[in-house]
Amino acid sequence: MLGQDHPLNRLIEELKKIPGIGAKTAQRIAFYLIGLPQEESDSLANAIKEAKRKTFYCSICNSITHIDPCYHCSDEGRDDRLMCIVEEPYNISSIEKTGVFNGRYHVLLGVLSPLKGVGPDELKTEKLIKRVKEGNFKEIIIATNPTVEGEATALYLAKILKSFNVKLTRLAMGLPVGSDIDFADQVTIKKALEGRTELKD
Amino acid sequence: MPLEQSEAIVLRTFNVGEQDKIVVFFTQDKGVIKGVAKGARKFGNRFGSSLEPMSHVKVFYYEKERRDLVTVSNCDLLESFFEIQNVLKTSFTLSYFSELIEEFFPSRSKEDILFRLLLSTLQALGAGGDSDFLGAYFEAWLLKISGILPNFKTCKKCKKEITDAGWLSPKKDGTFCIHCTPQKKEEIRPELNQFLQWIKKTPPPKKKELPFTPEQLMHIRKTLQAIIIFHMEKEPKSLSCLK
Repeated sequence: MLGQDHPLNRLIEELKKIPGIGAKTAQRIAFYLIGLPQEESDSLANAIKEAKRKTFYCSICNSITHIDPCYHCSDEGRDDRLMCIVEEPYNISSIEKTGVFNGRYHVLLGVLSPLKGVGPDELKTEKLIKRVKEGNFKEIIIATNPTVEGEATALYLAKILKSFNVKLTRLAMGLPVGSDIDFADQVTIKKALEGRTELKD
Repeated sequence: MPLEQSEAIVLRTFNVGEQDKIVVFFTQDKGVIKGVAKGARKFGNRFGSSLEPMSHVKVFYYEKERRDLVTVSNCDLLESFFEIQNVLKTSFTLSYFSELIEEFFPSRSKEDILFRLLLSTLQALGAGGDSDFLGAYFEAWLLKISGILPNFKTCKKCKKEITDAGWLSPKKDGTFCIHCTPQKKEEIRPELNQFLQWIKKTPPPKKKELPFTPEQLMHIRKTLQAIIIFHMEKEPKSLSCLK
């Protein structure tokens, strides 16, 4: 049993604050860190400190960056007529991995969630509206998650952006690749039918 | 570990770990239970859309002794209310319902009437019912089921029948007539009694033509929400979004 003033106890308590890490996992990580060679643990501590000190939200798209504007906003090879709106900064890397999208991004930093007290007033859309107003966007893809909260947010965004002369689209919903129709529920199949595409030669 | 099954409505979910979700179910036979749905965030997971809020499902789960969380093994979708939540107001109203159920009813207490109320309200919304009216309907029944709906018919002090407007008592446990009221803060209009009588005889309405005007409904909801806020000792988060 470690005393309250034991440094290891403090480490465990700090690790427990990370979402998804419980008491047992925190203890396991803490003992692993203690067992590391000094230079490795110093390197980890420095990496955390540096990442925290040097990263911030991009002044244009809200993505996490260490340069302002971020890599995606300053890339001149990207299409200025296309914008993709995502919920969180880490969603950008999932879309980037596809290699299909070459437009600009905008990160909402959250979705409408009444149970967490996030309503339309809490969702900071002023920056997005300003960007759309001043930009030359022809199409905006709303890429929020296919959940109730994501759908409500997408519809809210569509409502506030419809006054601009821009095409608003939503990512398709339906069957995941490699799945089996027999195991899909009625909502998924309905969405897949609604979003069906024409076969081309 | 025997496998149990219940008919339930999903109240809310939140992420845990890398791929899992904690789901709050409102079951017909055991009230509110929380469970871990492993792998529910993985793409193409076996739960599909069945864990979306307000889905009417049949849930299969394992329970361990001395553990509050159950393990959800499967979830069959019986009726989905995903589409109706495309309307922002309806979506917020349903979040408000789920917050009220979690706040007013303790875990694992069987609330069959409330379950049927929620399901029929959802079905009425799905059939095109008015979300404001159904919101008032649900609030009134929820207060009635939880036993905190005061008597609005007679004065709390002089016991005389209140025929005209009355005033809600400071502790929100009754009504005072115009002669007995210690403070004229929250007025209760006569239509509240008419509304309470009406909902006793009528299932959640699916039609747009309703016996109460939007203004009357606004006053009815104001009173019901004042009682809810008083007993919760705070304003529900979802209600402030709804407002």
